[in-house]
Amino acid sequence: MSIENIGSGIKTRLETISALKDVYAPNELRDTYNSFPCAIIMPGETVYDTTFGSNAGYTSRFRIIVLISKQDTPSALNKLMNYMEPTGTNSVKAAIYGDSTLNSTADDCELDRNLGYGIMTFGGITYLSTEFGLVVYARQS
Amino acid sequence: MAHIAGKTGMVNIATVDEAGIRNWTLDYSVDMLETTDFADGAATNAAKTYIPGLSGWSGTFEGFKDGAPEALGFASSVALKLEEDATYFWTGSAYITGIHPSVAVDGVVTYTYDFQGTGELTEPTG
Repeated sequence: MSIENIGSGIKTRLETISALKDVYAPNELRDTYNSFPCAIIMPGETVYDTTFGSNAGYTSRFRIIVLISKQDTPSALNKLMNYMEPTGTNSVKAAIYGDSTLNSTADDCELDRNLGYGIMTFGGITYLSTEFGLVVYARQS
Repeated sequence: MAHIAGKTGMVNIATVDEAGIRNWTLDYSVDMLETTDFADGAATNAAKTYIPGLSGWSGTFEGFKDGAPEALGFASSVALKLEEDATYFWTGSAYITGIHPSVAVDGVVTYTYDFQGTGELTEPTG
């Protein structure tokens, strides 16, 4: 179970949301994004050796960020709400928990937070966004 | 003697490493039998006196649920090996005397086990 594979597993889950035009795993991130809405997955803090042994457990936190073009702001903000909902066809939470092993790349996971509306800048371009926090429990081999 | 990082520890039961375990604690002690008598009471500092009696050991280990839990030791004891690392470890026979599952909405399911040692405990050699 590698952090990179987990990132790809998260992508697999998010791709079940048909409204997302693109999903970018941590090994696919780029400077600019051109099709919206899209989701990017970024690795966060990892805590190693949460259990004993050669197959020791670790906990990795991932950031899932849904990006929307800043044009047509009121409508775009409203669209973001659908991804923040705990249930529904565009719900990020529902997509993740459809397979909490993230396509068999982890033991389990917990989508524990959404940080609300925000803006993010990549490559000098500002996007509307909403960010989710995902905790993943895995083992190193 | 160098310090040892706890990350290389392990709990081993009947020669099998216990999956998911993240800490263990051992209490190894000897009973002290009081032998204070009138002569001690009459001494200048009136100090109590003791002699060692029987030793005993028990403890706990705890970690994430990873497969079926260990069985309580109704029928038999198990060979228990508590490793500080691959070199330094404590070994003996013990009964599993308690299992305490813990489930929280925002955490991983954990099991805590209690054990009671029976017979002699072999100490690390260094």
